[in-house]
Amino acid sequence: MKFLRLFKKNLSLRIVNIVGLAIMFTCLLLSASYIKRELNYDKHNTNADRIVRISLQFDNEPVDVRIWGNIIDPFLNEMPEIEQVAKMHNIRSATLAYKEKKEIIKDFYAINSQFLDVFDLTFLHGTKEDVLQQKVQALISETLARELFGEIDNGNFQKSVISIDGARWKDSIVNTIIFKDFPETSHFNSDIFLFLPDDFRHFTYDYLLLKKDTDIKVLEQKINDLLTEYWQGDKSARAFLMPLTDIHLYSHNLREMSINGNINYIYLIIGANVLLLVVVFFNLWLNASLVFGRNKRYYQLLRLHGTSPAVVFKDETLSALLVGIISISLAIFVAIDIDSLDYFFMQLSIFEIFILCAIFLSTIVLVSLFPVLQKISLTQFLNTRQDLKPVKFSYANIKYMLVAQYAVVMIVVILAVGIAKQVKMMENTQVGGNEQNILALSEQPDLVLKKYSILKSELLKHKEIESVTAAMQLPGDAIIDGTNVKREEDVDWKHLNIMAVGEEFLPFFNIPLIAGNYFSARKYDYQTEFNTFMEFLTQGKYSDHVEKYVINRKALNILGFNSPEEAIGQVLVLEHGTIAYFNKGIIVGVTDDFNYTGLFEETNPLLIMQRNLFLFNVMVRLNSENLSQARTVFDSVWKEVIPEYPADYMFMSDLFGKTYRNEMNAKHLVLIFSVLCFAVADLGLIVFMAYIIRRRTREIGLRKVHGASISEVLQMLNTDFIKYIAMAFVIAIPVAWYLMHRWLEQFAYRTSLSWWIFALAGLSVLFISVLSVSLQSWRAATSNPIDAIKVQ
Amino acid sequence: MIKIKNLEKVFRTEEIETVALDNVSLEVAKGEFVAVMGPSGCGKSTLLNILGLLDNPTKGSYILDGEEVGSLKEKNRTRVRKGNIGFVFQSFNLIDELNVFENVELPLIYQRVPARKRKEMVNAILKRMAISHRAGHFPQQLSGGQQQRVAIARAVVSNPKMILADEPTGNLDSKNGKEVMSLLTELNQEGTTIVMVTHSLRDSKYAHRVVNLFDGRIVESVMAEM
Repeated sequence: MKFLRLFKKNLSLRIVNIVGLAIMFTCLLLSASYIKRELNYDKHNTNADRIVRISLQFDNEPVDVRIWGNIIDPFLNEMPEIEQVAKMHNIRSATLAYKEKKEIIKDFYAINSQFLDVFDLTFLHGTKEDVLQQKVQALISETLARELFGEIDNGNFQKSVISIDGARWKDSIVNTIIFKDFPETSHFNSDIFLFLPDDFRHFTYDYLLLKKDTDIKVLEQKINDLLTEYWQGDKSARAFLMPLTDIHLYSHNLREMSINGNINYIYLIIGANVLLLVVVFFNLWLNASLVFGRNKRYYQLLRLHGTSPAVVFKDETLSALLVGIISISLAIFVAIDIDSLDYFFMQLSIFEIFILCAIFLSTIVLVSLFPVLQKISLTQFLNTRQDLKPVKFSYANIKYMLVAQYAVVMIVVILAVGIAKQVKMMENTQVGGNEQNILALSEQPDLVLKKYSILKSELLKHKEIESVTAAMQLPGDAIIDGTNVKREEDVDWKHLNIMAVGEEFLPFFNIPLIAGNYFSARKYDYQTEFNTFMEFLTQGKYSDHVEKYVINRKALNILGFNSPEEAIGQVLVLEHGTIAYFNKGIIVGVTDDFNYTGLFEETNPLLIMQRNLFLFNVMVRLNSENLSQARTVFDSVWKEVIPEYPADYMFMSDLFGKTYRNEMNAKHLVLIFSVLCFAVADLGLIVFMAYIIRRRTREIGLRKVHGASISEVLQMLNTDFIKYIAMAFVIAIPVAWYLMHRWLEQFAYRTSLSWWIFALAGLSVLFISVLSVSLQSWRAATSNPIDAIKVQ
Repeated sequence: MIKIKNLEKVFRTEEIETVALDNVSLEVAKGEFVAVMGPSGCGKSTLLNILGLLDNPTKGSYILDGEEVGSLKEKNRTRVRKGNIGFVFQSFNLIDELNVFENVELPLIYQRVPARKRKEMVNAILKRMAISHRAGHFPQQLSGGQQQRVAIARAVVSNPKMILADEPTGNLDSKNGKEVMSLLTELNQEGTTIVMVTHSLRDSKYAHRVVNLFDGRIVESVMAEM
């Protein structure tokens, strides 16, 4: 076990290696687990490689992945390549009642019968034939079934009717079958599937099961040719086919079924790992060189007495293996601790982990043996001239590697600062982005809308509740509904997006007005408005009520007003459409443009109106002094006013985190990687400095003998690596600028790439680096020159 | 020029205490050439290091040119050393990364001599040492004799008042050794004080006085026969 003695002799250098390698392998394991999960989306379906989603784009407008009322079906029927068409209609919210249990269920789907031919569902009770023979009215997930029925294993589960009551969907379900929950890696998920009637006309998500070996691009072109032929005239429509397995990472359109991932972040993770690998293996190589330098005399003496070079290789290999095994074991331990054992092994199989370990270990051994291979000839003779000067150590190469390593560190630091700045800007400019004490209740059922006024007034009686509002969309949701509008005297209609809000909405979010006033209280309640709406739907009768509008600056320009003041008091008329039961209103206020839907899109021109019927989302601002007390108050008021259903809410900050999941992930990821890169590079620098000082000890002594002061020695030692950091800085700036620029391109509203981001990265790296080597430099500069000169 | 009195140097480790110099008193006049001799470990090099202000004595007084320098801090030792003392070592101690010119230039840089003046001075001394044709070479490209000539050039380039030589011929053959001793004698004749540590009886004959050390004490101080 002589190699163990050698190992112990260089323990501090080995620990530096082990720490760096363990960090690296932890990152690799976690990244591999995450990437595998992201790449496996929807692959659990047997026909995954034959399923595509079809979506339409009209007149270059943003693509809504849903398709209205079967309009594409006639075209699809003409395509022999298509075997089946699965349709899914999203029901955003409804109330579910079973015996005495009542709850609000969100984001579930009504499907057509072909759905089961296209997608895989594992039935725990019942069969596909039951569905096809229309013996059941709903499919229920195992989780929901257990929640509703309790015991399901005996097959004797449904004892009563399940009532579904939504704004657009009502059902009484007597017969259900139970399916196994969707895996986490499905881009859609639902606890309950109802069945679409044949004559159903609404938005659906359409998936095509293609025949084997169908060329998707060719089929897409064929469909588009038909569409072009059909849609001659003003409007144009274009179909897009997206493979099922691409949806999670590549699809970023309106009304996606869930917040998708982003392939760019996979590249980002891979890039960050590669950069960290470069830094870590550079340090391993540097350390291995230093360690071998230290062990050289021992090997020279061994070889002088007849030992073969194989022994040198054997000892160094064993040391490298020991470093590798310790770091890999540490990394697995840490990764499991971070990811939890089940999750970790759920993503990566034992075999995959074994392969990763084997590759990593082999690389460690190879990199560690490289300097041995380079310098094995130096162990042949004792006291050769090469001993005096380590010419073979290629100092120049180390210099360049150090520059490369620091360039990597600076790039990652600049990216971390830049991304954090953009996220900060999102938080500050997105409505609701910076709110920590707002409860958001999304997609509430009719009952809540009906009782909203009472709920609000009851809540405001408590000092723990600061304000309450409601809106058609929550911050971050797409505002895609719109209507044609014109000034009373105009002829041409202009298209504006609609935002239905409660009267307190604008002050609730402190959205400032540039002219006019906020809304005043409505004069009609939910029921009155509902009756008006029904009269309009059934009899085509418009109300003579003149409502109040607030518009934003974009709408102001579209409507042709010269100034915000000019718009105040002007009457707008709405063209016919679902919301035109009130078809006239006066502009009472103008706001500046504000970011509500997210920073990926430009602000829409908005017509903001008060409509009781569309206030699906309730927002409650709690008193921040005692949040838990305020939540208790909210819960008890809710229970009192709406005893039928438990309140289902989340904090606005969590909602923000969900909307910007990818960006938040990127922010955290790059931050973690920048810290890790920096830490590993810094450890490397300390080792490098130790090497430099060891190599220059004699020189330092001689310079001191010849009159160099401590400060001059410090300057000599630090100037070099400050020079390298400066070189790294010069390399890092354009690369980081380019990467940041590319990343920011996805946002309609971007932070500026200020010079200080670059300066901060450079200076912080410089400062911490100088600090970490200053102790060594100081020791070297203040050492006794005589001791230094004796060093050979 | 040099006046040391009751000088003591003790090296301490955790376990042992070694007295390298024990109550040494010595005076060296300006322009004198003194050889310090004695067996290995008798304290010769320690004495030379203290004389060269590379180390401080544990006790005692050291007056250099009328200034007490025995207990100076590193910063002040550097100040006094600069331009006043030149060093020649047995193993030459040239800096491998610097070429001949740069090695010789080194003391002048730390004395803030302007570049042009430095160039003149270095070229002059290299010429005098008959090594100017090797100005661009690196130490490892030179023979031992050439390296020692460069080391002497570096020691004298700033016209120091005193040269301290630690076995300057120890790594040289007799021919090169003789050349080096001739150079030192020449410098001494021009007024430079020289203190040389040596094992070589032959080299000691170049000195005006030979001081013999044994176990850290001066046991003999003998004037050479002129």
